[in-house]
Amino acid sequence: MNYLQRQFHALLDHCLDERKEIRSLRKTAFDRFNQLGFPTKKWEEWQFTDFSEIRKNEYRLAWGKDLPKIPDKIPGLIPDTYSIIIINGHYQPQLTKLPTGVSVKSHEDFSQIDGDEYSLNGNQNPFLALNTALMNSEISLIVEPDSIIEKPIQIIHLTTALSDQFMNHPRLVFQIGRNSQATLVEHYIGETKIPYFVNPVTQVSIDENASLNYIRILEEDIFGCHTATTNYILKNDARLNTTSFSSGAKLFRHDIKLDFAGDGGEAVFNGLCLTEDQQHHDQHVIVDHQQNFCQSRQLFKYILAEKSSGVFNGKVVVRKNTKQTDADQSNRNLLLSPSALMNANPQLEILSDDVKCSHGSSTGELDDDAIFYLQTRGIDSETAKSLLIHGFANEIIEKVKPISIQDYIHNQFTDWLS
Amino acid sequence: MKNTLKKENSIIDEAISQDYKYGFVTDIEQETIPPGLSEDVIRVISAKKGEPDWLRDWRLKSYKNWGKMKNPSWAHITYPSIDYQSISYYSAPKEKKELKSLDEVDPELLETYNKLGIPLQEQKMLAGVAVDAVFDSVSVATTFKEDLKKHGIIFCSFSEAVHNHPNLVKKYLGSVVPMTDNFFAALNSAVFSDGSFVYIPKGVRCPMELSTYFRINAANTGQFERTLIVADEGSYVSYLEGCTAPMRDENQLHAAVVELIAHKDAEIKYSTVQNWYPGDKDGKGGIYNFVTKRGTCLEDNSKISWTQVETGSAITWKYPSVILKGDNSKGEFYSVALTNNHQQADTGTKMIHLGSNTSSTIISKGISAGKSQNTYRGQVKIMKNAENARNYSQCDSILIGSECGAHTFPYIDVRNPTAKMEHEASTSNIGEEQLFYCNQRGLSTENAVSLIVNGFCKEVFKELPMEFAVEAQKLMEVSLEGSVG
Repeated sequence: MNYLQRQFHALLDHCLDERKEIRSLRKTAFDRFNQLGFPTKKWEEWQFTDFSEIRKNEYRLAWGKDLPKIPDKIPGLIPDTYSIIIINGHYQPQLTKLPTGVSVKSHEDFSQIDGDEYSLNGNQNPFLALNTALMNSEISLIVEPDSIIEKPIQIIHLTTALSDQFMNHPRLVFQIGRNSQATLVEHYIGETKIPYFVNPVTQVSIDENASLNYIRILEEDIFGCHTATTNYILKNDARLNTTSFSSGAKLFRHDIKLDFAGDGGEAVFNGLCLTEDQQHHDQHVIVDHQQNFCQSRQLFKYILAEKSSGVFNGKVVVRKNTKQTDADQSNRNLLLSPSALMNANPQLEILSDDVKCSHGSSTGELDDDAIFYLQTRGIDSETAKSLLIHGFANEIIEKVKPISIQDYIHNQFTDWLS
Repeated sequence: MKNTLKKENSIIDEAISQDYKYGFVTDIEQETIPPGLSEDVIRVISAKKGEPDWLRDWRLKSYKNWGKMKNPSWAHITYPSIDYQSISYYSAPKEKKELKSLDEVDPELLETYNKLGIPLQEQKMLAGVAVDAVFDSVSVATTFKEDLKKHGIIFCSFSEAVHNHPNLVKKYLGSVVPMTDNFFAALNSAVFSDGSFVYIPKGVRCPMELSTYFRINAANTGQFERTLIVADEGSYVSYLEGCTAPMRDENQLHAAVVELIAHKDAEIKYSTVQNWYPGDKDGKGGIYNFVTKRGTCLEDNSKISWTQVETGSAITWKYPSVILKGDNSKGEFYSVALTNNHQQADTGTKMIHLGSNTSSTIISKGISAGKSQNTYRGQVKIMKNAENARNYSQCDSILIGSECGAHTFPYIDVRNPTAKMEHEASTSNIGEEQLFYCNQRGLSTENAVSLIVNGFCKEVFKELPMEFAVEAQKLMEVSLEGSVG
């Protein structure tokens, strides 16, 4: 019996009063996970990432007693935002500030357990199955129809003051109602020296003519492993603008899938990954154009230093008989050290002829000519390099809105660089 | 004691092998051996070809490896599983039935020849009509052969090379595509029928384009072809494979292996036009083409260039690759893959950068029409020691019709920061405006499509030797027939 099995049985014993549906869903999901197992190098979609760290380390599930004294100042809190705070997997309702038109449900209130948000649907992602089996903290955030939320809502997942190695499987459901507009920030922060494992699943659905600006910030501690799954469903004329900024975690894997479930949807993905030391960041993006007149844009940038490695795998699928699809995908990678490694795999799978699709990928180091040019202008080579790296990252950072979040990311980036 | 034992053993061994020999004598007399694959079948093939022991052992070893391998399933193609025991792995070259005049040839075939603009005499030759004295391919070929001999170039069938130049064959065979490389390469290594062997000596620039077309015993090389081209220091060779004329073949499965070796300052240019039978409009029949092609730029300043025009075969599974081992070596891949009706193509290239200052260029153009699936699958790997490596890849696809698919799967793996690696891809249909503009100028839609497609492919066609390039353009038109309107 491995540690996951022990934890799973402990969880079942712990939540004896859970609804029958949830228990059976957990069991099905755990069976699925056992059947799939941890990804190996032989799995096409997982081949570049080594998960032995998670397999070997014995993490235990977080319980109520793991809640430390709540820090006076929550790290990462961005001024002028509404906030939802989750510490070591425990939702803190007393710290939550929310505007009208937004409601939050949490914990055992698995309201939509029969909905698509929880179905495994033949999904072959073992971490999604593992999350469904072990989900121990749940947040559903619902934005009512026709509401415009001016200020961003920040959801902070803080891992701090651990006594031993533990894991969390947060489940997040975001529903943006018709004609609504909102900005969400999903923010992961770790402050500990003990290995831990966070495996969130986020399900986002955006209703007709609604618009979501979604920012994901990953600042897990270097001792943390983070495997995430995010699924988006866009209805008619829905708009999504996402930015992901990730600099933390020893191992980071993110599976992103977007389905255009209605006509006329628009999606923009911007991503910036910063890695150093022996960090490994792996992002897989699938954009599925199932309906007509949809547009998607992707721009993923990596800056890799020291012995770190990066993986980018982006796939655009255009289904049969769809009309006027416009998809663009771009991946740019900057290698700062001779030991850094990058694997890029941008893919197009197109089954309709009424399309305009393109993708591009480039990998290289800083341009010697550009450094030389700056030097001739009296700028020393270190400053010149940092100026160029800044320029490279700014293409992503300056697109972030509102400005308060942009400033936060910009500061974090400057810290990372120095 | 030891010696006697050894002796005894060798006697036993001899007896066993002799036994086999006798046991199959009657079989050897037959033209075709019965379907199935086993060690004995391989011994028979080897014996029939009168091969030396080392080659027989090499085949047997490949067979053992093949037995441990699985049919690859990662490609974007679907086909019923192949029963390898139902295939006959050796059939002696048969005399083709000679036809007396062109009147006896299938009129459909003739029409295609006319569209391709193949001269009448050549048409006769291709269709298997007895060729008269005016155009005697044999004599033309003989003159060529003499010319090559003068330069010290070896250009012969693989079997001939095994007998006449065993040391060269032994040295290079399997050095680029090892027998364990992949399922189909292992199968080929075990049962390969025949193929071409080319050796260009030091400092020689081959005075003509080498083509299987002019090799006397090129006919019936069979379904498991093996080609080996070695360019020694400072030499140059351009090799043409295939033919624009449609090829009919009763063998459904083709698994060829091509190995290229370029020594210091050498250059090899390999051009292919593949137009095997693609099956009928409903996707019945057609050739399965599983080919392993790879070249190594073994030493500094060498260059290997692949150019391919793929229009035939029901299934194409082909990734001509270059291993850039020598410093400053260059790899190129220019490809046009056209699929129509129910054809499926999964093709691309691999560029493995090992040496410093190596550079590679990939230009791939995919055209899918009808209900076909066209996939570009490529890998660019820049290893740790490849300082200042450079890669430029461009993969464009055109879709004609709403039921076809075009896919792009590039794998990019960079382990050295001094590398400069760029990849671009685009997919679109033929614009309404473009067609309208051509229609307006009096071109029919069909002509307009072929004009646009030919323009799209121009970058690749210009890499082809002249005589091929002209035919390739016509081939595009013929292959696209019926896909518009």
